Amino acid sequence: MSFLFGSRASKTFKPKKHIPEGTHQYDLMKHAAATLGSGNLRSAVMLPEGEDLNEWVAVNTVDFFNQINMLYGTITEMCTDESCPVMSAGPKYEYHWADGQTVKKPIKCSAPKYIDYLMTWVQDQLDDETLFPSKIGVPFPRNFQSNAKTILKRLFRVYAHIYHQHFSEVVQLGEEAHLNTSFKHFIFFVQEFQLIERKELAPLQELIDKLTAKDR
Amino acid sequence: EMEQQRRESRVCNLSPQAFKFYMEQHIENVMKSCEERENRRLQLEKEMKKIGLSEKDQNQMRKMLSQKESNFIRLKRAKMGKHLFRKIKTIG
Ligand SMILES: [Zn+2]
Repeated sequence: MSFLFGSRASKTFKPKKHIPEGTHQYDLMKHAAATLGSGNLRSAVMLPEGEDLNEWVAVNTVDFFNQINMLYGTITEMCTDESCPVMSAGPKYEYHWADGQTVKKPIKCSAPKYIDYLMTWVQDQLDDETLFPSKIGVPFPRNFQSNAKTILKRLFRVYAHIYHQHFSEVVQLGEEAHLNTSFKHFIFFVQEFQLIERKELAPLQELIDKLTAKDR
Repeated sequence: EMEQQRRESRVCNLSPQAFKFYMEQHIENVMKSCEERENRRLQLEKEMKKIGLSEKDQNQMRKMLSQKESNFIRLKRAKMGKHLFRKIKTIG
């Protein structure tokens, strides 16, 4: 992954000088910056005047879930028990599945299994009328914010896995600008409302710095 | 045996074209609905000023618009969850 994010010391993400232009690595470096012409996403994530924060977090959480589900759907054939025997985000981060409710003791499993558990768990949360009321006038539960934080924290891990283990496939499919835009929108959103702790974002911190630098 | 008890997997295959199409439309819609919402708010302010509503009535009107907007995104969320994937298939 160092080829994508530059050295740990460098915060600039400029391609390292010794990577010759035209090589695969140089291409990936360029691709890391590509986004769709997307206007001012930073202001689009802000709470609209008069809106209820829970309602705003809810609609955006469903939205990010859908995006991530579709994105992962495009690379699912390349994310197998063989290619990804553990759910990792680079060499330094490994995740074991536990939902804290039915699975309390973390399960060490392959990335596709982990992501299947994760997406199924999120879908169940979103479908639960007591957690995400869909009828007009029904209030959100008192613990809604902490629930949403857990969901977003886990969804982030799918982005982290895709960036670290499948970015070259994403480039081959020509969808890197789409991934970057989706992730940028996600990051602006969680930053705006402080929904994910900084330490959870560490696996993609340098990419986050790069994607958000221009719009600060 | 835990596997067998589980419902069918949430993750399904999707063509990159469908994902790309969705994202392009989606980002456009995000920007557009943000802008339109702000325009509705400004429009209300303009009209209230024109007819000289009392401060109390103005607040009432603002609340009504906010509630309408809020209901709208709730219905949107409910729809997004259920019909999205079928819709994508017919487009792609
Ligand atoms: Zn994988």
